[in-house]
Amino acid sequence: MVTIAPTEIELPDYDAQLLAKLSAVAGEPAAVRAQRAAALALYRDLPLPPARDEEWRHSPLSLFPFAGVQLASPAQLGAVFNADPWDDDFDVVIEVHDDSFAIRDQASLLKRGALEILPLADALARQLPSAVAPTYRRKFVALNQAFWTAGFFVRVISGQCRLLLRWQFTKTGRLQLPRIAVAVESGAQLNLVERWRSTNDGPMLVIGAHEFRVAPDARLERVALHEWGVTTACIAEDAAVVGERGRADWVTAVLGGQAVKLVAGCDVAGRGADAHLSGLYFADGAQHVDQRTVQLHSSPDTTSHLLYKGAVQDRSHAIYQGLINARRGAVRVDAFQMNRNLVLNQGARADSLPGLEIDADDLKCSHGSATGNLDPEQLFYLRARGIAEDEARRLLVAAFFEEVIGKASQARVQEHLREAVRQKMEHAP
Amino acid sequence: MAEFEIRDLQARIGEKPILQGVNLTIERGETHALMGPNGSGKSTLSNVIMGHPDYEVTGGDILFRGQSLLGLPTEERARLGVFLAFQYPVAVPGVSVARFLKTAVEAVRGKSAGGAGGFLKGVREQMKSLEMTEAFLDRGLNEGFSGGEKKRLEILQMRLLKPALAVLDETDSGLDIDALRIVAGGVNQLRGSDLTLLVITHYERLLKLIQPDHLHVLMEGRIVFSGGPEAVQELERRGYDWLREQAGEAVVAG
Repeated sequence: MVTIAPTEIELPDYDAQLLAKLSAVAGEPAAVRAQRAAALALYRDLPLPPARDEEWRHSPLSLFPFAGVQLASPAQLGAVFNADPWDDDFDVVIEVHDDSFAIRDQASLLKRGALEILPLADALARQLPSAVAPTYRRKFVALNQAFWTAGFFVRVISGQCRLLLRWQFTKTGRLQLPRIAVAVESGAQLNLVERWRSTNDGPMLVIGAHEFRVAPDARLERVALHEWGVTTACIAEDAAVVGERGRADWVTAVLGGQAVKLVAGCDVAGRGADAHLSGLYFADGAQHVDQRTVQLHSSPDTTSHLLYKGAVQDRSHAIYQGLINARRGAVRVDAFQMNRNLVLNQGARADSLPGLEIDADDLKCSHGSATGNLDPEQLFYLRARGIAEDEARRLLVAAFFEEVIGKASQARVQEHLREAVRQKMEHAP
Repeated sequence: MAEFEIRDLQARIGEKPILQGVNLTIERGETHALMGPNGSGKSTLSNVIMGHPDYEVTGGDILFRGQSLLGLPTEERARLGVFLAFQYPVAVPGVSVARFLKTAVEAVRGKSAGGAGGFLKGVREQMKSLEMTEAFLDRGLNEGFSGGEKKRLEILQMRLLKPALAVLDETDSGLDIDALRIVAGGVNQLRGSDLTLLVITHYERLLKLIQPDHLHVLMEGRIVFSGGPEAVQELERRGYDWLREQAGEAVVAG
């Protein structure tokens, strides 16, 4: 087993001067500047995660090219919208291309007042109550909340909305800090698909933070596709709070990126709330994919179901850390967590660290994990039917992921994920 | 040249020798039955014929139409026309029966001229004769299948792949009498000069439905008895013990 030596690195000085420059370029009002400044104070107050930190010990900060990137310019409304075939399946599309963004209201939801989308600065300036989730005392979330370079506030007021958020970064040597705050109001439904892409020409670092608030009886389905280029690193945290009888369905797919460290935390906060967290990851080459999930049960009668499935090949390394946390008094909770990994060759590595933290009784809680290569009996069966070994392997890997792919409701997303898995298998050693 | 010939075959799993010199010759179009008590090596033989990676052949040869199978990967054996109906077909959730059948048939027989529609039409016809419903096609391969469903699917595959040599490994196990009749019927329809069959079983009841031309008994890794179809009754009446004694004497005599 390879152990990574603890690395002391020094981060660039993200200070008030840098922040003032950013706000000046963006022309932000005082209220926004104040909120950025508060986040900066918190960021500077929080220590860097020590190398031995449970959460960071598999992913030293030296994996992320802080020294090689400079803060990107804040994204401004651009004149050009580049249409994409995916757009047809959505009501509204937000496109972010480096430092410019555009919004297309294809089904007139914004016009009809069923949906609100604001550049984040406008939302913060108006101090919309649901715009900002509670401040987490997390180092890189604070960095994002201080320096976010592209941000949106999305609020679904009524009915159902299908929203596509396309991020595309092409400028190398940049630190991008995307941030979105999403509110789904009572009885409404949001189907959000986010595609994260970047080019392969040089170092990029993305530090993202997403906040979701799902009101009572509201529903959120969110698919995040991390399809970064091989020279991009990403640290991102997603946090959701689900109200009474609300439901959140998350599908997180990590396919690209040099080093990716994600945290997905979901608080089933209202009685009867229900969350389904699904993950698909396939690392190859020298990719490093580290994911942590938190299923937080802060209320009674809440359910959460988690299924993360990953594959590693070549010299790649995947880490999954899961936590089910049932707070005191959270009775009649039903929580499930399962992580499965396929290690497709020697030299690739998958670590699975499921965990429970239970302060309540009268609850049903189970977790498990399994890591191994493809089942030799399944391979033999397929080969006995004339299917060549590499094709049989492709079939079995596709079959392995089918369970999580099925969690995404849109056929286009499903087909895209199947194709992405096929592409990875084309490069199998 | 015999259609299928096993010559002095020796095989082991790990350090444990299981087949200790098996000899068997089957002429084209014949049906041979292979019986024997538990642990005699019957399933090992079928796995070795198909090239299961857990078994190591330490001596002898397996010839199909004069060509040795031993150096060939499993899929090449299948493409030559060798088929194994598994005793315990493994479940593969996430691969639908329809997708699996299409992939297998294309791998063995090439793409069908009729396209996907023509292929499915052919599958449905074959399914009807095995009393299988169409809902089968969308299910995960062997996922949650009953014993009878699994065995029917094995025979369906055999009918679609049209092998020249089929080894049926305890196809009767786990089947009630109705399912057995359907499965045996599905095999019998294929019998003729184009299909050579090796039927491995524990029980005589399958051999009443699929009547063999020859019968062999495997014991402790060797064929200890070969006879005509009339031997089925004899075995049913007398069991294996008299053969065991005879085999013991043979070993002593040898």
